[in-house]
Amino acid sequence: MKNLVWLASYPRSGNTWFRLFLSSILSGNSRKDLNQIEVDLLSNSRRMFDELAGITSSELANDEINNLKPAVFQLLSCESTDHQYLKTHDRFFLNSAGYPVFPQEYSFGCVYIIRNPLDVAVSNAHYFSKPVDEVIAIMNNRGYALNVSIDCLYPLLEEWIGDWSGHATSWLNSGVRVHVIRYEDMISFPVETFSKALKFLKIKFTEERVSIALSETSFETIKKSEEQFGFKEKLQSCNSFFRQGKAGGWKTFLTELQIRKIAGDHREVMERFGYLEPGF
Amino acid sequence: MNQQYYYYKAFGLVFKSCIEHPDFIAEAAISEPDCLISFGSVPHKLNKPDALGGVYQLQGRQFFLRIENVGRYLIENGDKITIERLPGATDREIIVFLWASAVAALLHQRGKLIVHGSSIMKGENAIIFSGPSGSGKSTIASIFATRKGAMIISDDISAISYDPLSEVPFVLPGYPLMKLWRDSSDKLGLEWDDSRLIRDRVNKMMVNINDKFVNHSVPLRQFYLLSYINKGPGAIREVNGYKKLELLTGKIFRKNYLKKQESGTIDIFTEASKILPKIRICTLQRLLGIGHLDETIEMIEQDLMQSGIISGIQ
Repeated sequence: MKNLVWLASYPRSGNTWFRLFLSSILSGNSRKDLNQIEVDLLSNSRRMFDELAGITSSELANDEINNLKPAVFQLLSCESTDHQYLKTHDRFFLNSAGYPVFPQEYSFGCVYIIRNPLDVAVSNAHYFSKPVDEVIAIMNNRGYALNVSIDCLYPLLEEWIGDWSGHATSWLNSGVRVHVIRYEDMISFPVETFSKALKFLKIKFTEERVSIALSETSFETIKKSEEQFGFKEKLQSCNSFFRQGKAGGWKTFLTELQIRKIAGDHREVMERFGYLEPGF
Repeated sequence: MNQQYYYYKAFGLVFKSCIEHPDFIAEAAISEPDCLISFGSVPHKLNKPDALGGVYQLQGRQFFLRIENVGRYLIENGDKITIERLPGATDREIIVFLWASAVAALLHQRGKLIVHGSSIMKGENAIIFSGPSGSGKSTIASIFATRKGAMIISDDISAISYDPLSEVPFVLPGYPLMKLWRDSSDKLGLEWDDSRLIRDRVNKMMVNINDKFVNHSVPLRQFYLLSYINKGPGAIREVNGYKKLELLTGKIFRKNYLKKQESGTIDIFTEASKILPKIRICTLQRLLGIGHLDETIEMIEQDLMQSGIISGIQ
């Protein structure tokens, strides 16, 4: 059954905001505690993998885990007739057995959230406490992965993120139905942008309900909730998951050289999504 | 040439095994072991399985396990495990999955209550640290064993039996072996040895704990469910009422292996409900990371003393 919905994005692109909004719409009410939301499945949950695969992932090599993931997602799909929403920062890729890790035949579709890489660089630098030049290099690294268990075991499975442009194009060319949302449009045209996503997901809604959900998941509200209850997805080393919730912060943060480096690395995809003026 | 067999005792059973485990303590040969482990032909799948997962299928009293690059295992009737080795698989890889998932399936077939947790003996009492992979079960148990005078009863899988006469639940001894990641091994001051990795591509080391291993059953008094937080101080909270049942049965090891085995499932829930009044169950939230372990250990010790499970002089 095609009921898996991938909520995919490069890290720090608005994925969590979208999930909070979707949770509010699906539950019909707000959750004051961000840790109790409806849409909380993570595609790289070690616990979910171990349960559905029936094996301890910490005793498998990463390629063996990726070879089992299609079966795990198939089992997840078969357990319910409803949509199963899964957040992922993985790029779309084939495993070493040659099969898509995210099986098309069980996928309803993908909501791909994209954000100006200039802002992505700034946000990731703050979140991972890394120099922005290092983040810019990571954003151009095809092999980059998160949660790589070398000397210790992470509660989450490894995610192959790769480079920023390749991340976006991998999902766009995946063969899964994809609806793209620009983070900047989530901020500037929220009702229209979120409503279109709900239509894509075939979720019934009213404009009034969308407005309520947006109010319940406004940046101020979720920031306050994080201060009160914490947020389980936050890195321990980072002060807060939700930082500014704005677009365009790069203008006062990045140097001319850094801007040109990002534009040079990601020109094609940036132009495609309106993040670069032609000829920049 | 006659096949050589090795006899091992674990979880209250005697296994007659065709494959040696270098860290297990061999027992004298007996004529009627509880389980025979042998190499042989194993089918690629079961016909019309009742239930399946990513690596397993089950049908009636047959359980099939397939591990890529390692082997296929067939577990039958609670007394037989057949292994077909895949090309290139080492003995070390074969035994990793044999003594974990394959034996877990066998214990389920025998109706044993097994939970995902590491258990220690402190004083005369057994304490289980349960939780998902990466929650710190083995590391916390190891620290208690190396620095706090505790002994290890079992790592990763703990089997609980209930004695109806004394009405006491016991933790049965597992294997004299722990599997630790590099950060935990360093924390314990152990020398890292690549030749003892559980598999060449998995950075987890087998640590022989024969000198810290309890080879008899120990009365179970305390069960902690570990989880991690990323902010604020850790906390231990006792749970009561139906939450105890929910919490204990939620940590049954490989619970999915029980699907469709309705009678077995009922047996296990009945067993669990008998045990619950006799043990204290707590959730234990701790900050993630090896750097916060000392405060976690201190918190557990205080809780054990306050609840009277251990005394201050131990």
